[in-house]
Amino acid sequence: MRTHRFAGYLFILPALLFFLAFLVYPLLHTVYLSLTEWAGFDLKKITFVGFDNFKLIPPDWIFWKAMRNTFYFVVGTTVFLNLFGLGLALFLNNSTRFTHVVRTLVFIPVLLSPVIVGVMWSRIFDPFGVLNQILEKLGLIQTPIFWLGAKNMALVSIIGATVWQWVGYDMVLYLTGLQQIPEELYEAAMIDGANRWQMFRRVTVPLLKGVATMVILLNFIGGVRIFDLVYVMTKGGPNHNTEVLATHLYEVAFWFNKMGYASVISVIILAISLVFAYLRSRLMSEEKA
Amino acid sequence: MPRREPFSRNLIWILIALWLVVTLFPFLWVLSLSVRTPKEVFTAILLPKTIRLANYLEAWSKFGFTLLFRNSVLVSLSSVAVTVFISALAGYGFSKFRLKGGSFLFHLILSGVMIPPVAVVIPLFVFMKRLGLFNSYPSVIIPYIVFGLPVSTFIFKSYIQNVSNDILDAARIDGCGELGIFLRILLPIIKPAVATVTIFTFMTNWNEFLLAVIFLHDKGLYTLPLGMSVFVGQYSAPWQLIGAGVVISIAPVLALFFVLQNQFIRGLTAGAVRG
Repeated sequence: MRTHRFAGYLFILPALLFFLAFLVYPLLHTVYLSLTEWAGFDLKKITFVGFDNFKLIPPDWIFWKAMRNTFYFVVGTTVFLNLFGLGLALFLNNSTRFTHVVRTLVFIPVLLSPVIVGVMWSRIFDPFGVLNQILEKLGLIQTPIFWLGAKNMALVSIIGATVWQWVGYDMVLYLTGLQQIPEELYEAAMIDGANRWQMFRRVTVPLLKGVATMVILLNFIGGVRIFDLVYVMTKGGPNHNTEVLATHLYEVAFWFNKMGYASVISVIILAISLVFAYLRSRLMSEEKA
Repeated sequence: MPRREPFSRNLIWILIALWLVVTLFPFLWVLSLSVRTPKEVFTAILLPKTIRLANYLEAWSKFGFTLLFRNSVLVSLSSVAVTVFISALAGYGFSKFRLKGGSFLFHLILSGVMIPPVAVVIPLFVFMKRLGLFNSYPSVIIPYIVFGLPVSTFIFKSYIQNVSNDILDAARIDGCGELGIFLRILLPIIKPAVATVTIFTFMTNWNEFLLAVIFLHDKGLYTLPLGMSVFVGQYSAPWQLIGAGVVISIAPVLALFFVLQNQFIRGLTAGAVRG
């Protein structure tokens, strides 16, 4: 430890200033703006209206649809990401050349911009796209399915594309978790005559719980923010059946210029994120203890 | 080595093969789409009869990739450079100096990871308008810098903590100033952390869409994801050109990934392991 305290403060100063000016201040400002009314382009006409904007939430059926869709999206993606991510991690948890190649390939979609993923998958899901072509060739369907155009298929399709993109991410985190389990535990279990299922049930599962909770929370936090893929693939349609909180906020703010009300939606997204973040930090401190 | 997984080997290979097909098929399909003649766009599944590489030239000029790449490189590189530099400075300050309130300030910055950009876009919009920065490169560069800070500061702090004090002390005795120690002694030692942070923040910014679509309105400012989303939607571009456009946008990232696989995987999952 150095005692040149003054220099120390100078080192953290630039980061701190940036952080306060462009994150903390805007954050507090969001809360303030949610109590005001103004049309996006004239910044001088911001008037204080108290909780009036919050009263707009209950009758806003699109908001509730967005809330419900975000919930389905978060649960749907988290379930399948963890199922497939953990599955792949278990299968690929040995270091042969082959498993290394497979892991690398499964990770590739993680590198892509969700916009590009959206552009790709919109064509795949198109009524004339390759998915319907294949299903027709296999004789599974006679008429094309409107993956992104049908009320009850659109959100499912977006969940599918999201899972496709992020499975590699969850897989890598689970692999890290698996590699931290000491080999001796499996050896001891084997000497005790445990079969493979018992080893999985009694050694792998309990020791993976911490990692699993972390991955699940990360998927939740990521899911609440979902914007890009929905914007590119459906713009929230058809008839708001894929509307999520972030796309609703975007429309309210930048298409309809209702900035005060949009700030209310910001505050709600923020509150949900903070709940998950709180759970996560609780978890982290439990892990350490 | 005892077997850990509770499933039969054959089942495993079948499932892995299946997932590989699911993972790779979209890429192969887009690649095939990108070289098709307009006639075959909707008829071929994977193998077109004739290959038309001219699609790439057409897509390049139609989407204006020269400009998109230039903008994306400019925006990503400049924000990453600033994030890396100031978060490395902060990491050094937090780990090697006994600061009053240091722990509080560190956790304050770290708490930034919880804040989704979408929760602050409206005040940032107001801010950028007031500063006259709306619809300019800085309107996205500044938020990119800030949203990169929490994870980067955490990574640098953890890494620098493990650097021996003796080396720094020796330099100090030799009369090296504090900034000199940071630049000449510490930076070369923490290269691996610099690599991790660079990849993490670069990829995040390179792929970012929400802030770009809100703040960048002039076509001349569009980044790669913004350009792709706008052009694909607006002109209902022919599919073979969309295919070529997708291939052009992901090729550089894939090339880098295959050269630096492990660094990429470590960098991209770095956001998950902060604590």
